[in-house]
Amino acid sequence: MTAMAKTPDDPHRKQRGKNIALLIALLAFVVIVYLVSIVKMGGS
Amino acid sequence: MSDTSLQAFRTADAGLGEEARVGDFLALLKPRVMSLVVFTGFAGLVVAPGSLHPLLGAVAVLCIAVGAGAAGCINMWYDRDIDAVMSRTCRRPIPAGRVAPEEALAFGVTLSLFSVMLMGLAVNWTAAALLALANGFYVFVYTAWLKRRTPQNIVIGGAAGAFPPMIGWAAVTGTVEIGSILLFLIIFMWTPPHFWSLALYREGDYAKAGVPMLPVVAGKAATRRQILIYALLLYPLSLLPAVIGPAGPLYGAVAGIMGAGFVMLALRILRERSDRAAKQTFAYSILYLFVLFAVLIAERLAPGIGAGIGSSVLG
Repeated sequence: MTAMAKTPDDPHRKQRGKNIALLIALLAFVVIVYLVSIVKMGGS
Repeated sequence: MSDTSLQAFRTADAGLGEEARVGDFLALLKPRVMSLVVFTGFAGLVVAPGSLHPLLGAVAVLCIAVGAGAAGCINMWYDRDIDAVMSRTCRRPIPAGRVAPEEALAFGVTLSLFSVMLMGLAVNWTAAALLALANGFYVFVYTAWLKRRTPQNIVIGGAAGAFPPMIGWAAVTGTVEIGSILLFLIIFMWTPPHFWSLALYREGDYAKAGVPMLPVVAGKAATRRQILIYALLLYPLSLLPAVIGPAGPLYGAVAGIMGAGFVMLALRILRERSDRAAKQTFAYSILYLFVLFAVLIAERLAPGIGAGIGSSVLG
């Protein structure tokens, strides 16, 4: 059985791209909340 | 509505299009509009009296950007029928069938709520309330109420795009002050000649979509006169920040020169009556706002740069 070539238009590839973007957005949100908490608790 | 655009609209509404890419969701946020919004919001933040921790400032700018993008996304959801008809907008993700309307709506609402909540929790609730007001105004007052009903749509609706410097200012001070109201008024008065210049050479598009833009309803001649009237009203208003704050003499000089250029182009539109003149005025209007707010920022970040002009003008 030959592996299917994944083109840029492959739906799975597009879905994977969206999943990664969502992961990055969530991680960024966590980092923002953490840093804002540090700043606020520092009283500056 | 043409067969092609009708097909695109049906495809999009049925969610039958191809799988969306990440880029399609970014396109829903109207990144080009967002850049001007971020820039003016940042300017408000920089010129406001007082100080804000750089991280909180960055979060405030992020919230303004995401909030504006979210409002643009909801606008694209609501206007997907007319977007499908207009050549300028028919390739947007919803009319092209790449993003389902309900997905776009959920995306926009989520980001809008996220940006307001984060602004309130991280920065202050005055800035968050103004951000919510700007988003609500753009979606409910401009998009849903005025856009399809009156040629004054962008005059009143333009207020939504004028909020960012006021939000940036409030992020620092927690208040609404005369300085931030002035920055609001400059963008408010700039919006009609900016959009009407575009509408002059896109009139056919708006007419086809049934959007009562001024050139469609009142004609091109009346629109050209209105562009000149608003450019003339904008001119003295744009100088006020140099007179009563928050800007200095360099801003005053630049606003004077750029404003004169705007009025000259508005006069040229009236005289030449060509699409070329309208296109150039539209392009110039974007440059005009960028330059004015860039000078505001520069004056605050490098206070010495306007000193020479100040002394030569005053002394």
